[in-house]
Amino acid sequence: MAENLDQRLSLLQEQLKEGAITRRSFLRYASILGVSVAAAEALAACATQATPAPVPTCPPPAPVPTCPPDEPCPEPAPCPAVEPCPEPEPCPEVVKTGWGMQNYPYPRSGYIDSVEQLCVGCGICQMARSMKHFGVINRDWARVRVTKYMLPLPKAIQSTCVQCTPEEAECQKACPINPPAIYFDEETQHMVVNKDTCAGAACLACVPACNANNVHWEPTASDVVFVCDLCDIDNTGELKPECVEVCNYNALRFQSKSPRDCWRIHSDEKAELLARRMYPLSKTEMATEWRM
Amino acid sequence: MAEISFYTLEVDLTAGTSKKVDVTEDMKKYLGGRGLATKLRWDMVPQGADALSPDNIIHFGIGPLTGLLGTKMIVSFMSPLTNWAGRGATSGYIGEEMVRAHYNAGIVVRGKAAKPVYLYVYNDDVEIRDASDLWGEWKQKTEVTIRDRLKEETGQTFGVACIGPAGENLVRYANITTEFVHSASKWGGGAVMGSKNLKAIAVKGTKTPMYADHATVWDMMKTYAQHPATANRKLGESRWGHTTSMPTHLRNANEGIKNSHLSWDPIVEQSNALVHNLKYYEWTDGCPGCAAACFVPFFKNGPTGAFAGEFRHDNTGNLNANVMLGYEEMTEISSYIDEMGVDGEEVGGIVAWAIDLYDNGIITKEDTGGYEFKWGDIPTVNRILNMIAYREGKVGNALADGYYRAFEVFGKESEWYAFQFHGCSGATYDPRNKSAGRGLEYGTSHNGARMGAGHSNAIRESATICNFARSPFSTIWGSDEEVCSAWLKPVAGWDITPEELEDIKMRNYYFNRALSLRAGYHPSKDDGLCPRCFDEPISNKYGETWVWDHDEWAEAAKEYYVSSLGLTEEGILPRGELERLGLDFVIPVLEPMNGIG
Repeated sequence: MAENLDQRLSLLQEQLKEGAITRRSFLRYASILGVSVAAAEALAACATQATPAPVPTCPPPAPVPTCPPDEPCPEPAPCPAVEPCPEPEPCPEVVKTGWGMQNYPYPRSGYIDSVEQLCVGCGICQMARSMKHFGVINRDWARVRVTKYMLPLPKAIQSTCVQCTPEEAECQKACPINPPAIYFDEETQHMVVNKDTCAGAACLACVPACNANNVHWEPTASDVVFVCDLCDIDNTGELKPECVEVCNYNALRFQSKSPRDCWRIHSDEKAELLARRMYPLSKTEMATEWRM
Repeated sequence: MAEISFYTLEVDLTAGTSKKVDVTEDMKKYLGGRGLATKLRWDMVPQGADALSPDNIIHFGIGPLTGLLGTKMIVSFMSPLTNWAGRGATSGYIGEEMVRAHYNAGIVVRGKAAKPVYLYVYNDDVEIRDASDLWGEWKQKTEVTIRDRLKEETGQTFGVACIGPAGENLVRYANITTEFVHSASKWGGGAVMGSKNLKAIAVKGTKTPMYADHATVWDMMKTYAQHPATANRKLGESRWGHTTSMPTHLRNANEGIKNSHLSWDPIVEQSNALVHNLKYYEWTDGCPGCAAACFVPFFKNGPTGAFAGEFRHDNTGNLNANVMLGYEEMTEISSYIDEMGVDGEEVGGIVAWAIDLYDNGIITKEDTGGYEFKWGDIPTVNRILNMIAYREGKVGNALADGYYRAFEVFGKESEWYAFQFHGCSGATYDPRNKSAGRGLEYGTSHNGARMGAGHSNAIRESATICNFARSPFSTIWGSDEEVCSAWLKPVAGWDITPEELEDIKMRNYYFNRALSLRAGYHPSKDDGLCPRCFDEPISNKYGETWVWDHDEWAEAAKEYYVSSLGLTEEGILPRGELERLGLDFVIPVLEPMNGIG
């Protein structure tokens, strides 16, 4: 992980040096990575602005020979061929892959935060997750869920696992197996389901235990329950969540840890809260003076 | 790569039965959506059948690309407004539910139920359920009630498409709505559902879609989702929806002002997208598979009530300045149109015409039941909407049947005031404005005077590519045919070239025109523009003026038939092309009707 941080910081320094990002952006990204402001400023100072490459100049023209008086002029020596100026090298292109949160440095550990107001319900994140884990496009097999509500305006609401700590993880506490088959792996910093010990259909105690409905049971897809593993399928600690990479609206964000257990809220409840904000009345009581 | 199969769910409301039908061969020939629906209507609806009789069918059609290139559902039927081929296109996630229930060529409903019902489809589980308690309910209540009930019963969120009071009362331009703001509005699909006592359809699918090659489909989807063209498209669409284009149209004489009498008026300034956005924007919504979401609904909670909806040309363009109102008032009217379930584009022109007739003394206070019709007045507009949706009195009843039938009630002198084409409102994209190019499209359409009858939509609405979502796909993969060709391979397993798709496009266009010709349409008697297009010039805000001349129109139409539509100079179908495209079976039917050239 530390090595990962170093790499990311070096990359940022490199980008700052090349002028691809501003000093302000450097400081922001570095602090997102967990570097203190003072340290980030020091790092920024190390990455001095690249000095512009000298513009190649042509050699000065050879002096025209002058003749001494009363002497016949010698044949002027042929002028040396003027070498053409080399073409200036093109600026390196800043390559941007996609337009989502993958352009922000990923944290060493974290969870996928869902920004309900931004989600438009395209479901491409679900396609990504089901493809990554099961090799087919089936949104119900994704570990991020998007549900369309009528509030009565149509509104898509996501639900993602917040990677609870062991003290908070209700699914882990509910697992009757010892050690639990569903658990937060401190090494790799995400939830894991042990496929060898999970009892699957015979148990399913963890599914209702999660208030936010983020432990999934899809018997046609898998013999065991599944939960968001930040797309680290082999549990190696390489965290690169696909859903975040493809979200065009930045409505899913891979963020560093924070006291997040408090937003372990079911999407039905989120919908109710949004509806209540809009409607002091009940959501089904749309009124106009013309109602029959 | 294995080719996939396509199935429709065929429901007979009279017999109360349903069956799954393999239509793979027809899909390869017509692609799906509107193309397949033309074939179904040609085969299943008897020639000369009344559109509101049980003989008509309604196809909730999807195509091979539904859920990937936007999610479109093309609802096709014989239109009760024109009697010709009709269709409405809607968005929302119900189309994707059909894909996942493995009815990947849509749902066909025929016959008529003895009492109000709704259709319940949960994967292979199909039931025709009682909807007596929902009959008469407004749309939002209907949809929310069905969704809530089914969620309680199955734990699943269903996609629901339903009709409102206008559909139940057989208003000939009633529409079908899903998710409250997505409407299949054109040409009266809601009345066809109403005539079958079908209040709603509710669909849920939980199966894996039958794509031929999931990995390649996903690679293409990821390319699309991460492409700069998609991001760029998103910026404008997701903030504004259609609210910015309407003021532009009004300035450029593309949209009607005061029943299309005025060229520009200060009332246009009342359609201000930024003011609307700052006051009433809540969030942006999109359809499955579309990363450039374009639905920007509004919510308003004011002294006269709570209003929710979305501004699009379809439900706002023909009202708004056309009845001398702005966006502020339209929030209340748009909401009401959605609840009643009428085509906003059609009813907008009708309401403006009714006020115009009252203004000119052709209909009187006696006819309206004592009400005054005034320009720029919310109660007037909502009163007329109410009269239409519930067919109240002489005026409401006549207006609910559309222009042609209302001419018989209001008399000959009412005709000049109607800004209609083939009996359909035409104030959006004013056909007099030749720079907008709609004059010829409206005047020669075999569906009625609307956009979408031409070639380009023949391919988009068959493959089900969303018009609003498609621009990034075009940037990445090229023309509509190239986009289809690239996507159909991993989706359906079809090796189909852009040239072959060009043929399918023309086949679908000719076949759709053939269906209208069989139902009584003929360019010699039906095509043309209303008198005002020749009598009353229109100017944009910047001083350019247009009006049609009769000879100019006749010449332009001939040219348009041949070079743009691929028809004969008379606007009928070319025999050689029909034979080449495998449509020779329409020739013996249309020849006696002078439909083949």
